[in-house]
Amino acid sequence: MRTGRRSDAGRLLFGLLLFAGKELVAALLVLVGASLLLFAVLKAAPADTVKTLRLQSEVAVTQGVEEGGSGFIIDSGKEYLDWLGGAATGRFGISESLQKGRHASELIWPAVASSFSLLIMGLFISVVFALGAALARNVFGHLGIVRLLSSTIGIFSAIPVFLYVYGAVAGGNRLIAAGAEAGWWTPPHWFPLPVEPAFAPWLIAAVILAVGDGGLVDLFQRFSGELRGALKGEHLTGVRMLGLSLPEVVSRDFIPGALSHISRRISFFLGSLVVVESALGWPGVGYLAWRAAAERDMAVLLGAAFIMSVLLKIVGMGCDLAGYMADPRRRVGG
Amino acid sequence: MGKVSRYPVDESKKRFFLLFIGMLCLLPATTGLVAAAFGWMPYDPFTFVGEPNQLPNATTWLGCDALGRDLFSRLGSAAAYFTPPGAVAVIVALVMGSLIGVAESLGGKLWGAISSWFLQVLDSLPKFVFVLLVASIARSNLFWIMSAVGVTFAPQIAAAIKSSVLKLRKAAFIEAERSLGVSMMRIVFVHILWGHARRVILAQLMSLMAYALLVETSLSYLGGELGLQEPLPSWGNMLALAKDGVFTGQLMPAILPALMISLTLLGFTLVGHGFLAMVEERM
Repeated sequence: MRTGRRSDAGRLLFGLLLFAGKELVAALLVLVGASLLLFAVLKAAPADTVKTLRLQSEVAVTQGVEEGGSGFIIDSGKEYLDWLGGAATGRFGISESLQKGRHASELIWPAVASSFSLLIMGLFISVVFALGAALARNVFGHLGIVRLLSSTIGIFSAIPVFLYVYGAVAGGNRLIAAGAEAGWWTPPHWFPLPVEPAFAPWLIAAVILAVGDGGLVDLFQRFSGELRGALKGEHLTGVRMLGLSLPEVVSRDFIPGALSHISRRISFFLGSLVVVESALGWPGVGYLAWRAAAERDMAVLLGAAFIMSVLLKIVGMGCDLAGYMADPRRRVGG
Repeated sequence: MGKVSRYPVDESKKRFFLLFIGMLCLLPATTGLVAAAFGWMPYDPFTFVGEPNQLPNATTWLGCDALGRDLFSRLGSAAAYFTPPGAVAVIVALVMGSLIGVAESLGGKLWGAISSWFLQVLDSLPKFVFVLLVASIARSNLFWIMSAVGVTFAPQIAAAIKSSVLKLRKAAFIEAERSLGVSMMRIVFVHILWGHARRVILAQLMSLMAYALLVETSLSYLGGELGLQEPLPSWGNMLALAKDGVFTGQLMPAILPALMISLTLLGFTLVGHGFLAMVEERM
């Protein structure tokens, strides 16, 4: 019996490693493609529109077709490989305008660290709200108050994040100032994430990120659909007859789909993060990307875009692995 | 776990309700667009016609902005400035999405793998940052910016097209058409995509329009020569211009563009949901 269990665990581990390996190879191929596309956009720009992109070797990457080179494609290929080699080791070239002469990585990595907790908190709030509302809709959908809640989510979520920030800054400044003076707005000692010194604005920004730009309603509707599918499965009669745990079976059916929606939504979340941070002037990767775009600092912008692509792929891989673990049908190919 | 309702819900009423409310939300933007397109605006949106932050009166129906320009004319013109680039986003997403979706579902192993990889590449790009990259090169040229929006949205369109083609290609009526010698292109584009999947695609296009509007207004609001620049009217830059007035109690120039943005986004979302409800009803 023990040997059987051990071999089951070994098979699971082997399957998981194989799956993870395949995912990793696919993710690397996709990242190469994404970096190629980003670089191609830059190369396609007319020479006078953007500042040059200087690599580690201090050689400037040129835009457009150049006279007298060894061929546009070959030159571009060499420049791309040079840039990709730097990006693979976390170096993205030299900043041309934001902080002229500094390595872009010195600006990007601290900004990523600064944005991380806001992004996680925003996503967490969005997932919890959406999951709660989806459960309420599927279990108590006949109640008027639940329908009202669904409509309210739809309306509030349709508002863009910059409008929320606008409202929060215009209307909330006095309230927050009074709260800060009275000592209400300090993080509780048990709070697990590193936060901005001003806790209340940080939390408000996370809620704005969670709700605005259609993020909440999108997750809510997709979670609702997944939950509806999981609750209506024909196999549930068999589950009841066999005395298996219904919540566990439903969860295992629901989790992979829900995770794929979350991983897809993060791309939009990063966009909202750019807007929220830029509107508030907070020093995160979103604000950095916006400033780099405004000042045509291509090394920083390309680096920030590449880091976000890597983040998206890591989250996507994590979600795929978690889905693989959650749903036994995916392991046995059912 | 099943839902128990005393009165059965009439799904067709729900669908029409969503579409009706959605179109009602889109009405102000559509009115502004039509009025601007036919030159029915009371004033030129670039001309100073009144006092700064003037309240609504008989001559300026919605009042004036912080520089004394007619708010009604600028709100309507903003819809007109957004619509053609928004249409470009739709065309780019539709063309790219259709090509990739059809190649992925019908193109055999090699084309299927290449299209799938390309879709994953597009999906792995952070959408707004990719748009920022294009915007930093295109320098407030909204047509290029919206093309980038279309490119980033192509995977969603392709996924909808792929699932429709895969679902229907083995259906009996498709087999019948093939046996009658109808070309595969006609079957895919006319009978599958137009005949059966148009509402799903329309729902995706509504989401795309909402996203395009979100991107345009966000860029114009943030400034930095990335979105539409003053004096060209955009609801985003109108809102940015009204920022100082809000602190001195001049709310009208801020509330109106905010309302237009929210209503239009809600309208696109509801119309999209209405189309999806139609599809669910058919299924």
